[in-house]
Amino acid sequence: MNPDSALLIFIIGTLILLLFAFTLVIFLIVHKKKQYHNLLEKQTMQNTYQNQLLQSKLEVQEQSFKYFSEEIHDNIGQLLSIVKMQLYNIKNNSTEPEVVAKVTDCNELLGKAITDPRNISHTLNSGFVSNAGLADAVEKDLEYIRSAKEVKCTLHVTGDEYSLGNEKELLVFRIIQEAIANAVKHALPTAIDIYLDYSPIGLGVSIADNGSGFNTSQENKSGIGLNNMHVRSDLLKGDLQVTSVKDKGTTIKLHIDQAEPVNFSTN
Amino acid sequence: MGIINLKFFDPLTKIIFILLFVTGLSEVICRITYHLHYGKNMVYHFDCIIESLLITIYFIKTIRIKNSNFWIFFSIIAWPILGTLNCIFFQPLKSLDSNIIFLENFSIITMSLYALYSILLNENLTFVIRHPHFWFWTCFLILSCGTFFFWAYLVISNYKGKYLNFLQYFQVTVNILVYAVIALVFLYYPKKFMNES
Repeated sequence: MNPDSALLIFIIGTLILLLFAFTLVIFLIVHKKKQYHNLLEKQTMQNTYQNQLLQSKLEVQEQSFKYFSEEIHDNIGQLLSIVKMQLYNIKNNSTEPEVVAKVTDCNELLGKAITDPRNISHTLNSGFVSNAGLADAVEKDLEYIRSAKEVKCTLHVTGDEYSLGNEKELLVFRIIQEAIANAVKHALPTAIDIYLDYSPIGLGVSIADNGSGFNTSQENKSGIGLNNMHVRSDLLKGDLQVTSVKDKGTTIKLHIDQAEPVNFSTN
Repeated sequence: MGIINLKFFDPLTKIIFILLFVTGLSEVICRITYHLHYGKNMVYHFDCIIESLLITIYFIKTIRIKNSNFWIFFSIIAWPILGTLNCIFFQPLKSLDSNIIFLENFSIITMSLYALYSILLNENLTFVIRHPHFWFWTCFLILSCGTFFFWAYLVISNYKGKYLNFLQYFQVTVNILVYAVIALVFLYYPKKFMNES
């Protein structure tokens, strides 16, 4: 074969092969980019679905809380109040000092029996948080803890208080409640400090106890409480961090942006 | 570039590094033998077999084909046998082993295409431009496609013809481009690339 005609074959062949190689590589990059976007879209849809599922779960929980709260307040509370009034009547009509003394004791115990469920009823009711505001609601919850358990609970509020909106405040309140309940139930602390730090960019919440602590590497296995906190934090698009040192205590920190919207209905 | 980030390389990238080292070493030996009037072709006979072997092992491992150990063993046996047979019956040590080079390029194109096809099938691997082996496969494919007919032309024209110089320049340009891309992959290996072998 003539070298110059072979050259033509060489040039055409090389160009075809190179063109083929480049086309293939570009096609692959474009195809994979499309695949990446599809995957991203799929993940977003899955996250949205998961989020909606969590929201529904928490809405049901809030509805149950509301129902229990109303039942405690309207039925048990009313019945106990009637009993208290009857005892008051018995006390007033009785002339025997022994009966009067016993009725007075009963009245005191009954007073506590009325106050404690009322406190529980308040903290369960989502309307209470929106009416009282986050800081006052937390203080009220702490009052109940102080009266029920021998734990020194202190609330520290820094910065200028502002409303985060009912939904957000309720979620933050539930996280704080969960953290306190976990501490009291499992860590047996002598002191719990709650910090609410209001800043222009957002709210920082810290719940620190001096209890027995736990192994954070086994956090996922440790139950529903922490998981619920994470779920609520996700709904708030917040950042929840749990640090714990054995026999030193646990600190739970939450930060949420003021501007971040949340779609969670409690009605 | 490779030496700088060698500790970050996965084992398969280290094969590429060894391959480039062998290629560089054979070029140095070629210069020496050329000055000693032994010619370069003898070195290419050995270099080509070692390169083909390393590239085949690299592809067998990256594509993750079934019975990979068998295929590695097979290529360890097959490439030296092919080289020896070619040397005895067709192209002695003093002539260029264009048959083996031609075969090497053909197998590289086939394996690169198969490797790229496997990427297409892998749904988990979406960010290909951050996958170092994707660039290696692309480089091998372009290098082999760009030089495939060059060797054919050399054989057909019997190392003559007025465009031989032009062809050599073309081949050198393709080589420079490909090795520059490999150098960049080596340079940015820990920062820009995911280690997904």
